[in-house]
Amino acid sequence: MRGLLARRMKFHLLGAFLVSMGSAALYKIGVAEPRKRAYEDFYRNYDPMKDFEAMKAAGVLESAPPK
Amino acid sequence: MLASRAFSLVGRRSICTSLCLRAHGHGVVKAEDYTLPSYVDRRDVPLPEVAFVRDLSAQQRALKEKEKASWSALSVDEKVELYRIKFNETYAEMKKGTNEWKTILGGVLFFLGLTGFILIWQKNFMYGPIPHTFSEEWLSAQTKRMLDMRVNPVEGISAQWDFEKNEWKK
Repeated sequence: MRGLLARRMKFHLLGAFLVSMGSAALYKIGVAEPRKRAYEDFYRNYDPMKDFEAMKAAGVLESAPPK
Repeated sequence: MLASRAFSLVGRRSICTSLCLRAHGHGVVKAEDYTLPSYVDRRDVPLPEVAFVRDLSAQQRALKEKEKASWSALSVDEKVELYRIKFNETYAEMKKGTNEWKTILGGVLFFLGLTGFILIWQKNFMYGPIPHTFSEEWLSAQTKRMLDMRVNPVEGISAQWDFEKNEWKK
């Protein structure tokens, strides 16, 4: 019957710490890092002019028609 | 006293305040149950304000007398009886779970299913046709336009399309 609050508090403090740190870590390795890598990979060999020509040829640019 | 005499002229029972009651020898109004300290089974209240059993039988009163002597003279059953006089449930009984969650889960799922039926009926009998922009031709033309515009080329739809081979990436 003793230390009821202390025991509960210890359990919940530890749990809260683990859950919050764990979810932050999981987000970092699951979401943030892959996204950074995706952007790196995309822009490593990106040629904007080539992209522009492709979009122009497809006809989606109103001020830059295909012909 | 003068007031109660005046009242007795009008009619003894017609108007009577508590002052009048006291004058006639009644005393204080009986306290209602809900105003008195009550017993409660709660995990955070280990010693409730009153004992559980309020009116003891003759047997229980005898036991209470015996409790005033040495406790080692009490048998185990008597100790349990004394406990049950003072408390309703043990901590173990208090903390025991119920099967209520099954009822709740069943009710929730039932109503979800019922809602599903209602939605199916609505789609079938109530709603009109969906817009023409949801047809296969429109959607494929729409997707082609999105790819031509290079929508979301890093992580989104244009990243899933292979522009060299003109097909979806594996």
